Order: sequence, then C-alpha cells, then structure tokens
Amino acid sequence: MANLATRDHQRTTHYEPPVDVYESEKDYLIVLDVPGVTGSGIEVEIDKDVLKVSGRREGQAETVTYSREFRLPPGTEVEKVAAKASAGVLNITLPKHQSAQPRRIEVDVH
Amino acid sequence: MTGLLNRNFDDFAGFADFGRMFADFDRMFRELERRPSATQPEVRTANHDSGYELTIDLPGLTESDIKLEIHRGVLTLSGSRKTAVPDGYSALRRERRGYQFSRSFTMSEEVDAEQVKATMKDGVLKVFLPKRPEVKPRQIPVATA
Repeated sequence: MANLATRDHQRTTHYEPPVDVYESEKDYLIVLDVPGVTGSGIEVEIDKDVLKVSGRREGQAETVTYSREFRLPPGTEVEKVAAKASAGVLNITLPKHQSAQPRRIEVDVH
Repeated sequence: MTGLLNRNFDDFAGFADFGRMFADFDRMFRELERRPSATQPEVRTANHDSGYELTIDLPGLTESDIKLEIHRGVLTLSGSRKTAVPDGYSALRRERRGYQFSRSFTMSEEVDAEQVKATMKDGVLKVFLPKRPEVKPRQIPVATA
C-alpha cells in the first residue's frame, strides 16, 4: 500500500560551494569543494570579467546543483584558464598577464 | 558574486584597522549563512529493503584516507583532511575547512556484518549494510509416540 504522503519526485537543492582563493606571483588558484561531481559534470564559463562555476550531482533521492560566481580582477589571462577536478575538489588556475606580474628592473649604478 | 580579491583571510599580525576587521567578520557571517556547514561532514542514511546505505560527503579524501572498522556489532568510520596553503601561494580567501570525523553506528541483528561494503567516488563515501534474508519460522511435525 502506498503512503499518500510519500514524495515520489526528485528534490533539487542548490548550494554555493565553499571556496579558497590563493594568489602567487604568476596566477590565482581557486579551490572549491564539490563532492559527488565528476569532471564531466562541471562547467566553467567566463563572460567578460565574471567566472562562473557550476556542477550537478544526481543522487537517488536528491539532485544537488552547485554554483558560484567570481568577479575577476583585471590582468588575468582568461584564455589560459585551466580547471581540474579530483576527489570532489575542483582546482581552477587563472594565470596573470605578463604585465601584471612583478618585474624586476635592473638599476644601473654609475 | 564573490570578488576574487576581496580578502576574508589576512595575516592577523596587526589589528591596525579594527573597523575593516569587523566589517570583514560581518560579511563573513552573512556569507556563511548561505553555505552548507563544512565543519562536520553529515551522514545521510537510506533504508532499503536490501540493506541500509550511508552516504557521507568527504571532499578531498580518497579510499586510503578512510578507516572503516567493525567490532562487536559496531561500525566505526573515521578520517580527516587538512587544508593547507599551497607552496608559493598566499591565501586571499579560505572558506573550506579541514575536518576530522569519527562516527559509530550500532548495527542491528538484521545487518549481515560480514557483507558490509564501502566505495568512494569523487569525495563521496557510500557504505552499504546488507540485511539478512528473512529467517522463516521452521515447522516441526509432532509425531505420535
């Protein structure tokens, strides 16, 4: 006998995944926790200066969607963005433009 | 929208700017409300006819980081992860938490402890505890003495 109050449909929940942002001289590194999402379930999009990360995780009783948006600082090489997913953690590297990296200038001493 | 350069993590070497520190904490708490707690991994349980299934989100962990033990009818799961600033980088924002977790479950008689299985994929641990097939009552014929 079916319980009248039992839900039959999938529940969808949305989360903003926690993120760490690190900076080195040559790039930014963004690390997000997205457990249950395989590499193919992740989308990384860049539109002007906004980086959008989204992922989807299908479970038996529940579908979870993750997304987070970032405003990128000027000086990032958008074409060279790289993303890698492993063990439910997504790593995104954003190289900085050559000109945005610190440059050492030789000082001539006479 | 998260500003990539908006820091929530500074070297608190000098609290020169108290005003900004409080503003940062304020924003951090408001942001935390929108996010799932990353401190203690939660265990989701499902009860199927064939067995129980435990699901735990442990991003960053792989099979070798988890310890699963069964002793005297008690199942214990434990593991930990640290988050560290990668070499050569400084932190601008840190929301991901390291965690240590240990959970114990008493398995009822219906669970076949010998057949417990666990798998790990994309940072999600699934433990399956099969139930023994229903033991039917045995009819005993009464013979005439």
